[in-house]
Amino acid sequence: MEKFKKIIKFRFQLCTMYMGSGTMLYFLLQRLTENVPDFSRGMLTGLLVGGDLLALVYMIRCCVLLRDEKKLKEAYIKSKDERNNEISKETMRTASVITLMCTGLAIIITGFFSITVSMTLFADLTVSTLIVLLVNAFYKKKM
Amino acid sequence: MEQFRKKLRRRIMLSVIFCLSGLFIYAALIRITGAPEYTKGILIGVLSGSLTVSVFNIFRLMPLLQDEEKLKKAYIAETDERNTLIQKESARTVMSISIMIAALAAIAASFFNPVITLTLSANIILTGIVSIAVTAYYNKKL
Repeated sequence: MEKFKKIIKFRFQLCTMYMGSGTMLYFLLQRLTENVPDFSRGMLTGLLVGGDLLALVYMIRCCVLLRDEKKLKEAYIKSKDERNNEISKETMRTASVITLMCTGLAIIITGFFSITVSMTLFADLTVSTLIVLLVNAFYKKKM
Repeated sequence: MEQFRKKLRRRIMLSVIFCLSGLFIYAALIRITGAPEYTKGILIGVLSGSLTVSVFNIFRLMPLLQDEEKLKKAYIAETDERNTLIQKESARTVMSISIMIAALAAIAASFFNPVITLTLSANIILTGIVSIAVTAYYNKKL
């Protein structure tokens, strides 16, 4: 349980660091990139706000867990629950297969309308496939 | 083991059906849609790639049905817990890395081309939706 408490504390610190560095990076990018289109500026702002909000929500959750021993215990049991772990693993396996198949189909369909979109999706599929091969090789060595 | 044999037979049948229908769909798509050259190239690439994989699959699975020892080995390899565990673990890691790279690429691309950014964002959103849907399914099933 002490180890789990440490993990929660570490996550809290990570979120604080993320919020601080994210905001700094945002202002730095705004200053350095003057000839950037409005779309990019808007997107960066959106990402910063979204990321900071998520981090804030997670930080509040961590705070609550660190102060309430009963809730911490519940969270610990939930994180160690074999059923949840199994669901998470099974989900990722199925979801990655479905996503790859959908991307493959989308490459063909968008090929009829926009070459840029089709090429982007093709690059995405290629990178994903390379990652699959690399991670598989890593786990085969590790396990 | 009998069930595994049936599974292999079904896979071979599916590969054969895929080979034949793939050729038919390709010809139909080219005729009906009058696709641009680029799309024709993609279609022929996808078709030839899938056909190669299917034919390879057929030639890999056929000998297994005729040789009992090879069939046993394939069965053990398929049901091996270590392999299943590796697949599951790697899928989880792959998903996280892919999403992170796509998000970074979307930010970088926003400085050059909004279409690429939107495409990558749509891809990330789709991945999220699929993950939520599959989680809901497994929460009910398991």
